[in-house]
Amino acid sequence: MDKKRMSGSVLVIGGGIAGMAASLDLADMGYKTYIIEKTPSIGGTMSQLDKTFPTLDCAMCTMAPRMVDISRHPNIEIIPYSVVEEVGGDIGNFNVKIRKMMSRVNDNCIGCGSCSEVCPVEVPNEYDESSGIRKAIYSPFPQAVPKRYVIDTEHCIRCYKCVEASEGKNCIDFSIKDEIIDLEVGAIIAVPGFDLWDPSLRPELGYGEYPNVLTGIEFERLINASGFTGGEIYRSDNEKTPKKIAFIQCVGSRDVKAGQPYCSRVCCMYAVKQCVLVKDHHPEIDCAIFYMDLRAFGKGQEEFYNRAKEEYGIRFIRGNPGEIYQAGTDLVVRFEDTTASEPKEEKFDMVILANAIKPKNEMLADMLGVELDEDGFVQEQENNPILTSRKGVYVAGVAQAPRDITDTVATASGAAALAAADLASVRGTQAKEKEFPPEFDVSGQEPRIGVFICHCGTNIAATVDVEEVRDYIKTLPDVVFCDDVMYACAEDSCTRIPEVIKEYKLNRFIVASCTPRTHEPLFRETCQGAGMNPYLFEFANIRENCSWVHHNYPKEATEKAKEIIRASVARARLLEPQQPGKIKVTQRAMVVGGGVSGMEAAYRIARLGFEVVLIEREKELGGLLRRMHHMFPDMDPKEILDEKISKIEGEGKIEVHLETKVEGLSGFVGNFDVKLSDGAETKVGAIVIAAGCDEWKPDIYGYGQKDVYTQLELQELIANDGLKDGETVVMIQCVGSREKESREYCSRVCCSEAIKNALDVRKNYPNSDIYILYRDIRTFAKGAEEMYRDAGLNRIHFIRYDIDVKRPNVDENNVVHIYDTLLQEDKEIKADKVILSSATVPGEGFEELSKMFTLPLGQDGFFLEAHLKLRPLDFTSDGFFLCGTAQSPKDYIDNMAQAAGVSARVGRLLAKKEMETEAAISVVKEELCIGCGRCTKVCPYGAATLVQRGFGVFKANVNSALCKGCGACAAECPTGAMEARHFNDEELYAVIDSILQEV
Amino acid sequence: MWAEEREENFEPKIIAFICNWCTYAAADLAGVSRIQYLPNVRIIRVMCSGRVDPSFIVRAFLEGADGVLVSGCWPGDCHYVSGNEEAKRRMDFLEKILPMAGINPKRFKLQWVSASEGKAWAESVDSMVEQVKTAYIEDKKKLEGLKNIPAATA
Ligand code: FES
Repeated sequence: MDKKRMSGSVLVIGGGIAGMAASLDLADMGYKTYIIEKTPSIGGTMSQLDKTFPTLDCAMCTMAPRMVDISRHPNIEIIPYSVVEEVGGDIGNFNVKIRKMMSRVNDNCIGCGSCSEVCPVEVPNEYDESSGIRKAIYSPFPQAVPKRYVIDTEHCIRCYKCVEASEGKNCIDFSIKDEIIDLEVGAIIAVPGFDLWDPSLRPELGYGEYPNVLTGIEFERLINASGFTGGEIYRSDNEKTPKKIAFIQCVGSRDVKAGQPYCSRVCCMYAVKQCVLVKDHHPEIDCAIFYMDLRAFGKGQEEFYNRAKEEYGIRFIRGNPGEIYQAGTDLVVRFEDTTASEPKEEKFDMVILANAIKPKNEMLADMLGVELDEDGFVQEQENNPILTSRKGVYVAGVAQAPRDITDTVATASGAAALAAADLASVRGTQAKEKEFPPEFDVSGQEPRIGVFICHCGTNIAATVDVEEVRDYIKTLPDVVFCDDVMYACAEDSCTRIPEVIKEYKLNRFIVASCTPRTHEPLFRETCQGAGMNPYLFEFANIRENCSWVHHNYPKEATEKAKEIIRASVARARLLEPQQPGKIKVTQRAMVVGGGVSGMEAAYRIARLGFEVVLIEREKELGGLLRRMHHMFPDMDPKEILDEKISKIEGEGKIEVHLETKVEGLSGFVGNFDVKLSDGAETKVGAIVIAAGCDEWKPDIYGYGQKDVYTQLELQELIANDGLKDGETVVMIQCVGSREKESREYCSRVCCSEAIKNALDVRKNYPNSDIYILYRDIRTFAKGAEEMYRDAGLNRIHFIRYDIDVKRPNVDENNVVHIYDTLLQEDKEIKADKVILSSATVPGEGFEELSKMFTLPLGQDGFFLEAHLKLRPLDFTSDGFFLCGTAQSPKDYIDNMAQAAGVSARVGRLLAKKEMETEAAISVVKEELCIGCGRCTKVCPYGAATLVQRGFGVFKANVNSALCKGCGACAAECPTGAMEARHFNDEELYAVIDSILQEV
Repeated sequence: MWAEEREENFEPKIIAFICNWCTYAAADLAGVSRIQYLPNVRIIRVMCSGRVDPSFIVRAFLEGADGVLVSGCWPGDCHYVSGNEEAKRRMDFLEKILPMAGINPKRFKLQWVSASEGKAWAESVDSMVEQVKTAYIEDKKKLEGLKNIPAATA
């Protein structure tokens, strides 16, 4: 067949966080990537957020560096203010027509904003959810990427003031028409994001009628430091700070009548977060959350919820308000407190509605012909949330179901992996390498230091007096340039750095902002863009190490910030350029753990074209799946297992080692040497930890007694027909989970597991009496809420208990004693079978693996990812990745997303044949070396050796390919002959002296 | 002597040499989690606790540091395999020498903190501040004792 050559490029439709994550992975793997974005800037909903739950990371701070990365990436082209008009062709060769809307601003725009200043038209700003104001010629927010302004032709009055203001720049051109461009791409990733349900459709809640009833996202803009009030919370009618705020959950979600039978998945946590943020600024404001089930199911979320309750005193009221009305300036909330069974009224002066997430998939259906489910979300295929009904078209994020950022990013990487796998044979055909200008020489020059001091919104500036610090730093010797900026990592600041380096002939640059552990690569690269060696950049951390941890000491924090930066200036003076070496990458991966996640990860990596070594401790692949008989929502684990195993065997690139453990590991990212317990030795470039969880063996609720089982044991029982019809089955939820003393986290899967099993019991034993004793029902996953409703219709009884009121108890006769908090009465149920929804716990092997690979475990005993929101699949240590339940409990579908996602993360690394080695390594000053050999004894890598330089003359020598730059040899050297470059004695002495210098 | 030069209610200045992979990560975590601790500490980041040359600590004391904290990964967790063992060996030795140089060993501490222990980091800073203050009181007393001795024997 005369098949046309496939295209090595991918189209990403949507520039939100999902589109960004997918593009970066694709571009790094060697695919040309186009991002189409309807608005003038990428960033999406996440760019509107203040902080993200549960870590309270500043959203803009974590995403801005990625926006900059995208804008600079040689393989990514952003096509803003554009929409897809038509899609033809097929996987491998899609033809896409794109309409670039006439923005009337051309490529000459430098984002100076002088046009916007003079524009007389004021329009509600969409970015501020229409609360703030923007002009008719505008850029949606200061960190926008690209920086280019657009004219909103609908509101422009053609006064041409902007044209006058930009005289001579030739950037505004009213003759520009819509432009149609044609693209040819091999695959498409659609990440359209989501809409929100209009809460005025529940008129009894007063949205649209009362000015102080807001939606969650409107409130987010109100409390955002970069929002239209600068983060000041006040009522729009009387400009007063509210004293009491009510947060109302499930507005339009979990509501069949409203059209959203599903759970929107993020509202509980964002409400809790917003309360915490309110309390941080105004401890005196009373915050109450009205909820039905508090769904804090993700990693770190239950812990966050507890803190909100205990440390911040946020009130949680179980009840769904039926009406809100205004009385004077107050808003009266009418509700029934379900734990007191009485109707109540309470006055508030602001109400926040958590309105439902709605799909925004029309384009996907109409233009791409992708099948949607009855709610309008994408109908997933093969139980994989990324696969659509059209080949070569993938989705991520909320397109398939509501998702938080962590899960969105995982699916986005997954989509990138699947698209990349389709195009593996043409990888690199349209990609380019990053190029930097030649480095300028600084030898012999006096230091000329530039400093940027970051406000980080209010993250730094709320505690540290940034202007005062700036004025002080300006007075230091050798500082020739110093300025303060809103966000140092945002595109506008990063563009300025090379400019000021050139303008002031700087040869050292300091950014005083956040932590080098996340942001150093970005700024180093920025300096490289100006021809400065990246090691002449110095980082001063005044956020994590200062403003964030000294809230109550603004004066001391300001002084401390000055000293931190002063010490950086002292070090910067002595910094020298460093040059990395190059080594080959072993384009092969190892996956540890042969459960479903590990198998899927191995398969996906192989599909990208790389060999994989898959290690499993047990005799066979499958892990926990082997103990299951029926999986939520409705899957046969046996079938899945067979299919996965045959895929692994069929792939041909996967080498499976059963009953095997890793016994030894040496080497580093790109080239690990692994010793296996079966005697095999192998070399891999990347390692994925996909070890799975276990079910906890309870020591409570009568476990061990006859007829008391866990949910997994119940599945076995049902499969073997071990129940009798007419029996009373009592299930207890949260057994060993959500317990502060032992396992604070929520095990995430138990609610839907229990309900599914209850329905299975009902189906097989129609006359059983089935009870589920729960604290909150957390059926957030797609289809789970519907199943929960179904369970109610199928005579499954739900009884709510509260451990703070009274714990249930199972006596020796299997009588279950429970206090029903909704009926406020004690109950006794004689159970024939007691089923415990036992906690999901870290696998037995986690600790051993953590030691073996020196990878961190979190306080909950699960592996600790590099960044909960934006890097859930990476470790901070280069070359190590994780997926599935190694990271936290999750269900099959989420595991599949993570497994696909991790393959993209691995693919990014293995796609390169060569990588740079550490530049900051040790070197020997031979004239000082006395050949004592102490360095050779402390070097863990055998990099330091003695070489003979003459008769009886030995000198130390460092093998630069082996040295990792830990500096142990330099600390050991008695003569100062061993120098740890970039952390040498002189630099460290200068830092010490500068900190302690008397002023 | 050190204690003599300090005011009654002084706020000690503490230099902390911490490794990039565990303790610095913990300090980041403390930051992200907004765990509050005393502002007396100045962090110097090194790649590994094994990089900390005892001479850095001596230099810090000479230049007027009230306390020095060295912190890295827990034994067995060092990103560079064994750097923290070297650190331990050197610091144990240093701790023995400090009193000989007239430095109250309470002004020095070596502490392991893992990447997930944001809280432990905050606590170790706070407790170090306390410890240095205690050292100050001890030294002050000693000083007074010393002053009394010559008076009695003269
Ligand atoms: S890296 Fe933390 S002590 Fe070595």
